[in-house]
Amino acid sequence: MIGGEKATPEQIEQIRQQLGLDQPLYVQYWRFLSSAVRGDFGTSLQTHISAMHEVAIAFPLTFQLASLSLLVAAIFGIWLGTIAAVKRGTIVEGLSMAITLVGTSAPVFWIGILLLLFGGARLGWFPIGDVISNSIDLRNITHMTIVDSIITGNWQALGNTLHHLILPVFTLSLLPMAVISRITRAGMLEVLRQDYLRTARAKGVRESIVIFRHALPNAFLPVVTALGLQFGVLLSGAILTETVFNLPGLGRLVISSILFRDFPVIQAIVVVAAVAFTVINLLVDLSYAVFDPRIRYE
Amino acid sequence: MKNTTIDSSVFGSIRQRDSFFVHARKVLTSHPSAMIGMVIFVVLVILAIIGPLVAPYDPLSQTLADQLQAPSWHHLFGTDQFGRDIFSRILAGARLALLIGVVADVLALAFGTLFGLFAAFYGGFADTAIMRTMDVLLAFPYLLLAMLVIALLGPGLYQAVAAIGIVYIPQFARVVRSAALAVRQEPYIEVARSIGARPVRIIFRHVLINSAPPIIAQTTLMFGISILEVAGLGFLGLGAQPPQPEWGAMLAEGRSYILTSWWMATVPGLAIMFSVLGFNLLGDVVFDILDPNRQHSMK
Repeated sequence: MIGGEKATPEQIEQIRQQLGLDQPLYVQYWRFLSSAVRGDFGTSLQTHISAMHEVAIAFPLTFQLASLSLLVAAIFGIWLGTIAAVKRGTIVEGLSMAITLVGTSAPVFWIGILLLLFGGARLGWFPIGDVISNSIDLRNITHMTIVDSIITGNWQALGNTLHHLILPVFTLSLLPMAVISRITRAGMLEVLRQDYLRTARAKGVRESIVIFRHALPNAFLPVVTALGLQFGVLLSGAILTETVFNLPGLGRLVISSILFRDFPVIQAIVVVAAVAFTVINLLVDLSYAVFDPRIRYE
Repeated sequence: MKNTTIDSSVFGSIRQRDSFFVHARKVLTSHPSAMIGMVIFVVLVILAIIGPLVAPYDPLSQTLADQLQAPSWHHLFGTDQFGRDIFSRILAGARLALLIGVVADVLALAFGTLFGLFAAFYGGFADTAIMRTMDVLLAFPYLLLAMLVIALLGPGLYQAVAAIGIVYIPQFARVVRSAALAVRQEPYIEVARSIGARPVRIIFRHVLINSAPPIIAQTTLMFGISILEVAGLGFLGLGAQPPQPEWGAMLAEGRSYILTSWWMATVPGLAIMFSVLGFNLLGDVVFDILDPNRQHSMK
């Protein structure tokens, strides 16, 4: 396959030796594993650049999109869930229920297309495609446009990239926002029944402080767990969102690699994503101690 | 519902069957959202069965003279770039969507149940080996793992369905295992074992049947998820290939024409959303309906 369709038997033999395919399977596997732990997955069959290098350029952009969406989802999800629990039977609860239903049922790529149509094309409020305008000159340090523009103090670039990211982030954050608001609401309904809230109110604490200082932190633990799990969903959703908005990133790389059967790159992507996902979940586990002082890690 | 547990164990088979439908109807009518879910589900099934009979046009036949027409009485949802009637394609897609849901669901259910049951029943090394493997699979983002399977099998509708089925095996294994672990402690399992029932019989006749409610609830939810995910793969060009009238692939085709012909992408998206919505709403209450201690859950 690599030598093309008209490769001679000698050429094939040479490529086989080059790739180590003449060795027994366990030797091949050991070689793969020992270079994989060093971050070496070989070179891309498409571009002949190191597979890890390809991923190192694409991953930060996807990570940036996913993290920003998680942040937005957390802020609005917790806010919606809290309001929905406190003001039961009001329009806010209805709104929160509607977002939950749409967020969990509508395909992200469809929402993205509709937003692109109305916000991008019809109204012309938002730019279409790419994470930053070509005309803007930004030095690449981390490959994350937001971080880069903050480090270099390039505020024009920061504004530009945020403007580009509004629609994709909104699209991607809808599903985790739905999940988070649902969990927050359930947790808050539980906490609101507790005695210490009545005590707080009885001693004359203002209602907003009762809700946000006394009640919310106690409903936080399941929300934090959900945040960690949502990150995996976000990485998946980012692939779809990037395709819709034509953003550079892991999505574009993974699809072209699959269609080309570029296995070194696919392996590198999968391993990097799994490691990122696992690290995030570890951080979530560790953060329990922050939100629940009863938990201590020795 | 005055009957207590003693009654139902004495007249078990007759009473339960009777009260199941009564109970199911009560749960459905007391949850309006469940009713909506049920209606969507029934409509989807009916469309899948009679759809091709009532479809005004052939979903695959191209009439280039009629291309990109806006919705009208002739073409309820308009036509696409090849002049195919989108309404007819949506109807054909309903059949495909149900098929996708069933196959992916059965795949995940069958293997997940098998793994979960054996892990719970045998414990020890079997449990560790099976569940750690499942944990490894869970460490990958779903879509990426499905894409990995497709990278090995090649793009296509069947491959996409298989990929989604495989990716969700760990979820089922976990649900089944935890349900089965609880059931395993029950006295009747010990009775079955002491009268000499073979392990396979205990696992399938006693443990599985009694751990059914959470498994069935998960199966209902999974139905919607598999439709959504397979549509996602179709949208990326890794699932169903044109001209198959799969909703995700149709959406992808419509994306190129979104500025001029909004209906091409909008209608399949709505179809996906309503189907998934139906299964999500239904999945939320299925557990309530099937819960054996349902007298309590009704309060």
